[in-house]
Amino acid sequence: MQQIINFVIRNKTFLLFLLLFSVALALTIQSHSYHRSKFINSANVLSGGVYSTVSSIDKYFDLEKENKILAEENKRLRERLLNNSNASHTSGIDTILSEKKYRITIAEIFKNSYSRTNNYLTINKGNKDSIKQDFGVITSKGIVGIVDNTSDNYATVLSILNKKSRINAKLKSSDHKGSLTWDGNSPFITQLEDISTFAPVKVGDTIETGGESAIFPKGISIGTIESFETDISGDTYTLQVKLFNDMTNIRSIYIIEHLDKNEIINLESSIDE
Amino acid sequence: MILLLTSFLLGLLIDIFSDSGGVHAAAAVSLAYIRPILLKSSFGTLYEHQSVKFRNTEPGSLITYLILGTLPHHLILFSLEIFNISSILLILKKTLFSSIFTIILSLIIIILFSRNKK
Repeated sequence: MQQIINFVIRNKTFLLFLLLFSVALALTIQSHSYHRSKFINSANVLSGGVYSTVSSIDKYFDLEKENKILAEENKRLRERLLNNSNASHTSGIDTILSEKKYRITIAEIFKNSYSRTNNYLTINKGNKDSIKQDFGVITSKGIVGIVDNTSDNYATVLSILNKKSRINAKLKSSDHKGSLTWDGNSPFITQLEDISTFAPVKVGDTIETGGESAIFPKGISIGTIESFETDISGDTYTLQVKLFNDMTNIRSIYIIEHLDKNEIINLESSIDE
Repeated sequence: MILLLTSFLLGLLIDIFSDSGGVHAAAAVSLAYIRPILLKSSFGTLYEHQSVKFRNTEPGSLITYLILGTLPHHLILFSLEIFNISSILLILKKTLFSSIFTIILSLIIIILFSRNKK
């Protein structure tokens, strides 16, 4: 017994190091699983509060640019509205009765990150605004990511600039589907994998969301094809996709909730059983 | 002992704010743990006599100390962050360039602040 106590006292520095290091290692490993720990993330009260204060000061400095982006979007939406109202007259479908499928919430980004290999954003809406895990996040230009953790007032978003992110996407011209991933290098370029070599791929074509998952609706634009190559197996293309969004410079975002999501998930899980 | 604990807390604070699990905490704790070895190997006998003063060290041994401290810290940081042995090249690349930047930054800070105190 005496010897054990002596041993502990003699090696107390090493033991403390071992303890602290394993705690840190455990947190790291936890952070590499898809949905991370509730404890260490910037959606909690402490860091969320600090980030919200900093952001509220910071946002005055690019009001003008934000205004311009919003004005552009307004213009585009107005154009679409005008075109749409013409179309609905001719089609004769009663649009009032058709059910609403998506609910959109406006939010703002507090903390952006794009230089690491696993990037997360923090936004200023949370449980109180009925934001939940796995809602889609987009801007007026393209997709941003998927809601990961939520607290009462804040939420973290798994950015598309994250090695864990896999998003269903397709070619706009031909409906060939693949998954959008990121190799960790440039924040402007993501990769679209598993596109069949039968697909008519051209540099400059548009990539948009495929709508197969219950997170993003179909047809939200992502980016354009920068270059492409066949992967090792020779059956599929890997495309380099240049994002429409400048991920290093985003503030206003929209959160999309798919209202039929539970129905879809229940249906799909019943197949597996 | 206290150094270990404070470095852990410092690392954890960075981690909480930057959504990175326990990456910084792990790197900071290991740096604090190997610090005596680094001091001994870069300052030699001076350290054993407990007479290292930050202001009157030779620039050469100070730079050695900086490099020896920065490289392992960044290596641990990036290998835990990327956590994938197959992207070892990316880890080494990031370690190299971030270390160069960190060392230059630390030297600038040391030069600026030691001038003030004279």
